[in-house]
Amino acid sequence: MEEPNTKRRRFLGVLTGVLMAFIGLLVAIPAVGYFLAPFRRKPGLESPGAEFQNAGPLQHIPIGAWHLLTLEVVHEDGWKKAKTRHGIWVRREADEKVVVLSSICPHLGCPVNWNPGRSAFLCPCHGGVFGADGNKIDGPPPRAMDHLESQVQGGHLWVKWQDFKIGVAESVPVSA
Amino acid sequence: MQTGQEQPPQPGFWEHRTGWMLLRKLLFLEPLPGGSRWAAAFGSLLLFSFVLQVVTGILLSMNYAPAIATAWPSVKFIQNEVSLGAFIRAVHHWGSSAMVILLLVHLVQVFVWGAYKKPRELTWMVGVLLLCCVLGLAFTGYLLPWDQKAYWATKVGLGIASTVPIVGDDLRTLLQGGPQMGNLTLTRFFTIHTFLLPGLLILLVVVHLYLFRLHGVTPAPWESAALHKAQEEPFWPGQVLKDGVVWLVFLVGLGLWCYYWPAPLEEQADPSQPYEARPEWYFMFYFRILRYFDGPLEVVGTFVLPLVFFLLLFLWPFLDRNPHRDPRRRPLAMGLLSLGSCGLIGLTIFAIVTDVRMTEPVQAAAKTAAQKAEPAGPIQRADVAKIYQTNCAACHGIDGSGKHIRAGMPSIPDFTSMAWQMSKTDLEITHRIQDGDEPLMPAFRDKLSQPEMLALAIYVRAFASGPTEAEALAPIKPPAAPGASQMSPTQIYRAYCLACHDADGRGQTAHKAMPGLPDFADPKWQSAHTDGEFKLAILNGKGKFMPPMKDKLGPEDANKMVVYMRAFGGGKQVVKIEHEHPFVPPALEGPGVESAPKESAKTAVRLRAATGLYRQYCLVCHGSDGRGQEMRASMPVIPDFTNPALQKQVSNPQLATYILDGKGTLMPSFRGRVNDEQAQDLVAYVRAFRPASADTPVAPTGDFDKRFRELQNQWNELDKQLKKLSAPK
Repeated sequence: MEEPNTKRRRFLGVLTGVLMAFIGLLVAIPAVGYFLAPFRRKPGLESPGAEFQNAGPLQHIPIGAWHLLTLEVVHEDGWKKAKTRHGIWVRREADEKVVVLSSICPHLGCPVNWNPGRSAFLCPCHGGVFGADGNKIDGPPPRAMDHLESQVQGGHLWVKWQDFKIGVAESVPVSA
Repeated sequence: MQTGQEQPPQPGFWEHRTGWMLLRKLLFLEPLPGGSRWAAAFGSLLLFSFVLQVVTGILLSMNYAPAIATAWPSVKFIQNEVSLGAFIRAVHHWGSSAMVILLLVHLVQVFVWGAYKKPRELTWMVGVLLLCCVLGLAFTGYLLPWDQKAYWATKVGLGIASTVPIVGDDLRTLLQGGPQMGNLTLTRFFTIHTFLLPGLLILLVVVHLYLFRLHGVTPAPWESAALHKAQEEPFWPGQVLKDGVVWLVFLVGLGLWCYYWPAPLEEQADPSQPYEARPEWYFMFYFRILRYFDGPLEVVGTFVLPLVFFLLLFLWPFLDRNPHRDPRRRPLAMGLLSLGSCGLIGLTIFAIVTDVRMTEPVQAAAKTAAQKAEPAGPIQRADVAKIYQTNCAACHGIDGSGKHIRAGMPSIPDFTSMAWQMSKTDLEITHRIQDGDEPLMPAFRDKLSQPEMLALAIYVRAFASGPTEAEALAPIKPPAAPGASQMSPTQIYRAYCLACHDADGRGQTAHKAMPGLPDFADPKWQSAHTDGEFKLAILNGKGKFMPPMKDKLGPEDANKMVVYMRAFGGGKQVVKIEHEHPFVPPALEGPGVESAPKESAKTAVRLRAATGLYRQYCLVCHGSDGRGQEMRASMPVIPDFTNPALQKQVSNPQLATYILDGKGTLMPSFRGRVNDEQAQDLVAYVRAFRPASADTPVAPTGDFDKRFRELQNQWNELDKQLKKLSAPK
């Protein structure tokens, strides 16, 4: 029934469609690859907080009380090395024994604050409550506050900063 | 005439070339069944509010730089310095809220009207996608100012994204541009906010409008199709006029709102500081809901609920099988709508009202602690010494020099250093005591009362102005002059650069004398030179007047100063000068001041002030010994203050005039920087360079104070005589 001309046109139509789809893919594949760049890391790149950072001398920290310190971590931030300041909660148990907690709430990432009146850490966002030992008491957080590795050297406190996966029951470090 | 109407008119010049009649007919003359109506203006108002966002957004992006170091400063620049910047930013900020409200109103309107029913299902679905675009724009735009609010709200937003099952972490990494929030997060959000989502939104708006035109305005349920057809009216001008009136009301309302309520901008983002993160008001209901999903149920709140809500909304035209459009005959849909809107509005109000900020109890606790610490009577000097010894001496030392701990704490200031004292205002010292400087300097706001901290600041000042009780207890040698590397860039700038380059880096005072003097605040000049060039100029000098500093500054200091100088760009940095109390500890060079006899305390204070002024303004050219040797090459006429013959030629009032009003082309006027009394003291100071006798080139320091007082008396005599002469009889 079909005229040879119509048949030819249909064939050409299909061919043109395939050609256009191919051109589309040629543009899209590198574009998507570029967009997914964050998944590919340069080899040999230091992960942030892989090393212990100096958080300052220990002597000023009163024994037995929670104290907010700032930890400066240098990490690769796009085109430059940047210093990021992180908040860490520090309690000196004895002379050289120190407990260090990350100030980031394991629920959704708000900065938790020590409330001396209630003797508890409170998350200002969604109402998480943690005890003086960092364990969860109340609210939506799935686990206790995250402990950070620390050591004392020459009277100074050295802390290893680490981001943790939020919203899960176990403390899982986020691999950088 | 008759025939002319039947035949299409001959196309004119433009019509022939553009065919614009067809376009006009398509865009403006399309018949609207049912005629123009106010209710139809909502959709177009929404489009208008989007156009307003595009216009203000483009304007804002002209002054915005999406990087961590620049985002917040550039927004602050828009807010404070760009003309109309605060207003444009307010229109963009509040306009986004207005757009969300209009969108919800439009959605409810279409829902009640039943306008999503056959054949308009796709129009509705595209509308829901548009809603997602707008919410996405709101979320990505929220981060861009990079203030505390932006940082933490986005941190939580990304946290929510990461709880999505399976792909959560990847989604977060993709949005964040890396393992943690940083530069790449800003650039990604900026691109999504300014290119991706607006582009997608425009595409969807075109589809939405096309579908709307295709199916026409939905007639009211009680209107018959025939009546609807009979009331037909072209889009132009009836509907456009109504649209325009609504737009105008909206524009004036938004403009007035923005005039009275500027867009907020908080402190620059600092991940180490506690902050009470809150989303924008239209997300408050959701923020509240998240509190109720504990532990493993969290994903229900963060992912399942929103997904179900949007899927319901998206597919609603196919879920609602009721064939009627009249709201009175759709009890289920209307019930769901009223339940949903009451729930959302109620929850939003509930969330905002019950949102107890935690700062309140903490502040209250701090206040009570402070009150406890407050002593009953006025603070005695001995009390302050005690406070210092208990709280500060451990690090700063009983002598305030902090030298015993400097090896381990290189940044500890030396209170006895003139450079340090000059670089700090009283307020800065009080604030430093109050808020500390983590991690080394602890905050004392909870330990000490306000008056105690003030008293401590004064006590700290006393380390430089003379022996304190503490020093009397433990006498120490005057500290050595701080090397440049111990000085902060501000201190270095004050000591070596300020005299010519001015407090704001513009160098206007000396510009007449030194035409090549650059304006640091000029961004063009800043961008025309590299850091390397600047460093070279600082170390090796430049041109006729810029002296080489390599004997005073090391390469590291030079690097610091390049950064410091860059900060003047755009006129954003001004070095503080304390006109009233130039505060100076014993001078370490120039005429020997440290040996001034103690009995003339008042004179000593003035002399110290004069020393400070001399160092600040005169030393660069005239040198610490008053000979001006360093500058003589480029300024042959610079006087040698130690030359008695030269000193004799000039009278005291003349010298003061030179200081205040300048001399020749090279000596700038210092009026406004020093007052008359200070000029007087500077004259005395300059006089003190003159050797006691012509044989000895340098004055024996012992009788400096004596001669200073003599000169002052002479000056006062002359002043009196002048006043007598000039007084009208």
